[in-house]
Amino acid sequence: MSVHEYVTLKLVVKRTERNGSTKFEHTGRATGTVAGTVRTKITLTHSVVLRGIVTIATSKGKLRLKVDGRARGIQERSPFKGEAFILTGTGRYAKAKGKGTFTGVVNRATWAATIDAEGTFTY
Amino acid sequence: MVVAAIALAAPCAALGAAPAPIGFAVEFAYDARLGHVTPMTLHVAIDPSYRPLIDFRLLTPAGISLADSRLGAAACRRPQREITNVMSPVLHDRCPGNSLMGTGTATAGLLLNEFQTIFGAAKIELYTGGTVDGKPGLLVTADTYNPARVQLTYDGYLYVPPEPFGTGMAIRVPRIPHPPLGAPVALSTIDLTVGAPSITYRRNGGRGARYRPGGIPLPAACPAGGFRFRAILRFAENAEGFGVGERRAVDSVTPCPPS
Repeated sequence: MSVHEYVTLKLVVKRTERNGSTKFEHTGRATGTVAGTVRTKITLTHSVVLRGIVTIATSKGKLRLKVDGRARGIQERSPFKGEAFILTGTGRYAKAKGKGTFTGVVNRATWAATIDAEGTFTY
Repeated sequence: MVVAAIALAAPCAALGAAPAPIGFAVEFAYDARLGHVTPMTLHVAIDPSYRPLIDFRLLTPAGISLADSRLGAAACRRPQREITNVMSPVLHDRCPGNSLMGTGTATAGLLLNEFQTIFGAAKIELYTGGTVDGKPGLLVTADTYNPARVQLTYDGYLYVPPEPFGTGMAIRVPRIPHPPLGAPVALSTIDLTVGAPSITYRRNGGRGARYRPGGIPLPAACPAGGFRFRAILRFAENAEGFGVGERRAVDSVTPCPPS
């Protein structure tokens, strides 16, 4: 089935590592095909590469996704774009498989982000 | 005190004549401190014996990046024809004030013939740009005031550099299709300060109160030996500025400021 998601995220933790990368943790909400709360752990390297894990928790189970994206701007409201695929699931989504793409905008002053994602998955 | 290190390209180890030196240095403000923001000044000096520069890259050490600063609150997007034509009449306010990241000066030679070069000067500005080939974009304008008054526009982008560098910044310097007097232009010096205290932005999309976005954040800890920057310069194949020729890489180590 096709999936469309809209995610809003607020920054919880931002930490700069010794190697120059920055680790972010966000929480927020996903609405769309799968609605629930969202937690993300993302690492920004080279100011351009975004990689990490996104967990969507619903009343019926959890989905854990791996995300890989690239910043497309460095202005205050910076656009980014990337791909995501399901790593694991629990409950109703225990056998979930799928992948998709996302675009988003992050506010570099607050590091709050909004994301639009679409793709396909089975469960 | 300004900490500076001028690096000269090491002579070529291979047989043959040593290449002409390229001056390259990056310095922080005299009062820079680890864990705080600072203006960052880039100096490049190219020997006139080189062909025209067509591509410039700056690789920053891990932990230092343009993108981690508050600079570039807005993006400057220019029509593609300005980038393609390079040269256009001087017009001010082409870019939003909140997209300015750095200012400086540059000099270049107008290569009239084998024996005659006219050197000119320009005021340069670095802006946050739109997306370029899917990457975070940059824009550089050069307002020349001697010997001709024109505006040159170049684009660039941030990219993932090889280890151990943090961020790569590329500026494309194509040949001017219709240069002044029909002569190719060869860049000779760049002095660019990013995040100078003189840069101010306005809140609320450029309509609100003024504020200073600050400079480049320095990491809290310093790498052993200092911050190593690398400049990669690509020159044209011939004096007319056509083709892709020699590539030179020069390193510069900026001493660690106090914490």
